[in-house]
Amino acid sequence: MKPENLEACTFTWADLGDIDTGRPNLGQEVPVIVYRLGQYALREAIALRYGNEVAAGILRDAGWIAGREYCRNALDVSLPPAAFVDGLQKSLAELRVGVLRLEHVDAPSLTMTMTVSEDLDCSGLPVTGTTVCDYDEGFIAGILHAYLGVDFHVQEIDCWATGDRTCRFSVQPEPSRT
Amino acid sequence: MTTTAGATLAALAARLEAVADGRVPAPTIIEFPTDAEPELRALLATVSRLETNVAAVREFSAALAEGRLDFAPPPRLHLLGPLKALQASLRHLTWQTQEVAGGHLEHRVDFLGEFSDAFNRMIEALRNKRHAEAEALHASRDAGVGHLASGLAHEINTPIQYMADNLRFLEDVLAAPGDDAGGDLHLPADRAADVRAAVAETLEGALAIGTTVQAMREFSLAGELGTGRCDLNRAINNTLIVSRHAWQEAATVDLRLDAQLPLVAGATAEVCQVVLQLLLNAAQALEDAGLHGRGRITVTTRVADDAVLLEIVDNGPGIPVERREQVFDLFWTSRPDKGRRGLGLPTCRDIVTNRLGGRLEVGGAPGSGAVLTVRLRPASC
Repeated sequence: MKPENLEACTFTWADLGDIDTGRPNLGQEVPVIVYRLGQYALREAIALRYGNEVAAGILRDAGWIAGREYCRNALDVSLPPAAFVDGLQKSLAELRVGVLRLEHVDAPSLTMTMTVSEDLDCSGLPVTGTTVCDYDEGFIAGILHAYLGVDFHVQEIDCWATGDRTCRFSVQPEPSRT
Repeated sequence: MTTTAGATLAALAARLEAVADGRVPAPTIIEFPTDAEPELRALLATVSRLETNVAAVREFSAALAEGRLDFAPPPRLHLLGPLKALQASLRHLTWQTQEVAGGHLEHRVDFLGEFSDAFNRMIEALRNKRHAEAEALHASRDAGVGHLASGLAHEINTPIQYMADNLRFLEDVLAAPGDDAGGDLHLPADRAADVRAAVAETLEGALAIGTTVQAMREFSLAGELGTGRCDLNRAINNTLIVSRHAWQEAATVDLRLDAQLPLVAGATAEVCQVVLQLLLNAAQALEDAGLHGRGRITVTTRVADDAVLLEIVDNGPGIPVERREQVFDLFWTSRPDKGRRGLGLPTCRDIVTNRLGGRLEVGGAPGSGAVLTVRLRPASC
């Protein structure tokens, strides 16, 4: 079933609003707990209606859109790769999203391994034994798509919630996204 | 407590003692006594898991100690969390080091304590070293070219001078009173007019060559003649003449030079270098914008407050406000695809700031041409 009035739901960077004007006293920042409250409540609501797998997929898709828009609007896509990565690391740290580090990059095959420490989504969560950073997977794929124009499959292989202190993601190209 | 339970507990105590001493035995399946109580069974299972986990910690630690960063520890083992974080950091540092070895000096390492500071200081030192090497290479190349140009200019200038003298002599002869319009040469009037025109044209050409050669000579010798005082207008004129080939296809240059300009403090060679780089930068921006032949560069000198200002303005697309500091970053270029190395403007700022004691700033209304303003100190009397 196709959603109705799709255009009205299409997210653009401008939809984030003028926060300085709207929150002159409370400002730009909120505690991590508020972010997680929203994300995990949303995950449960979707999972209750459609199941865990669908909830994970929707969060991944949302992350992809967010990553794409973030890259287009907050990063300099004209920079060469090394400088782009440097800018991305700085930006994610400044926004308190996490500490991004690359472990391995194979440029010809566009495969890479990266880690995110102090991750906004999961660091400090109870250990449940399953990875939870579906949104992050999409976010990373969205950023890379906006920068390189290539669709990527990003998979979290280690997560705080699986007992690892650092989230590790494996990144590789995938057939074009529809 | 039964005898069996007591023996089992003693065996467990011995195994725990071994773990505490760091003598981790190979994980083994502990045989449960058939009559063991449930609590004892639970304890046996826990000790067995502890042994397995400690063995994994020991094996992982040993791998890291030996530098085997590709070691794959058992998944989902919380006890290994800090070691996995260390492994992630070491892998990241390995990648960073490979990047540095590949010549990428943009990266920084953060949140790794003293190592971050040391690594970042190393990157900064490498950047400075690369800058110094680039400068030294340029200086040495410039010096070589300068000496060559100066020698050539001298060789050309001497014959040009006597050619010009002889042509002036011919003009005088042709203009001298004689039997007809040909003066002392007694040429028919129509031939005399042709010869006078040819001589005048040749003289004009010779003088133009002389002007160019003189400008080249002054430009190339500027470093040696540097007295700490520079005639900015003259430096601009000489630089324009010697660099004409580099900008004339991209733009016309409009000069608005204050004839009453005082001398500025600084070596002429360095002032010429700044003028040259700013001109080339403007010409490249105009070329990149596709303004071939329609570009315009306006060079203005004037006195403002207690400073001497040099402004170089082009009619290209300008430099976006958010990039106006970035253009002074060493090796940053908007057009790496054109083989540019990002040295021009950083070098200019370095010369202006550190050697001439002035300031170099980028301005211009967004979307209109770039305005590069050099603020120099007047030379003391």
